[in-house]
Amino acid sequence: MPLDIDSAWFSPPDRDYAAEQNLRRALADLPDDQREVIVLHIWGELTFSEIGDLLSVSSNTAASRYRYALAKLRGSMFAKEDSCADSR
Amino acid sequence: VQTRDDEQFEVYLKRFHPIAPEPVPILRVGRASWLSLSLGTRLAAAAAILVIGTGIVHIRSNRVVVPNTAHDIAFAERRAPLEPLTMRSANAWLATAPSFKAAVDDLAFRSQTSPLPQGKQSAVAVLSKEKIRL
Repeated sequence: MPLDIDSAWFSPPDRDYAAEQNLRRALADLPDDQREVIVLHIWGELTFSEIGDLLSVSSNTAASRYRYALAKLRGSMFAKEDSCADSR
Repeated sequence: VQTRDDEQFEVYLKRFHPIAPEPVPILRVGRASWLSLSLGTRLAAAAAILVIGTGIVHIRSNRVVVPNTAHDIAFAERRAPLEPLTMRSANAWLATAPSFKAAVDDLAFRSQTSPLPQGKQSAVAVLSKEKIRL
């Protein structure tokens, strides 16, 4: 199912809708296999072992995908926040 | 190995709460398309169409062929002058007629046109000449 980038995915803290949009776009930029590990671990609260069983991969693979995804996500979100801050 | 930055970033991400997805729309099964019908239903429909088609072909092939009526009419027009209808003349007429239908039609026409005795009139002829006001 394709991602609908224009509809809200999260209820952001403190009504920070810009941050919610930033997170949504950063998640949409991730590869599918990395995005699903991020979502399952952070918001699904599954362990890497459980994610591995769910996706038919080893727990190490799940953890590895998670680390890559987290780094990309952080870089993407903060880079966008910095660029927004610089443009102000 | 997760760093402190990673843990802080995780905490930051967890502050966002996913919105519950919308329920998946339920497809109504009111209108059944041809493809959604079961195999048995489709086979029954195909068999019914086949039976009806065979029946139509059978009826058309067994239809009685009406002879060429133009030929029969021409025969009736060139018939012999009127003569009293007897068994002998009827048999002779049937023997020379192109078809049984043509012979029967002509004989029936003859019986209507037989001359009336002198001094008498046909009621049909009189009525056909009168102007009847309705």
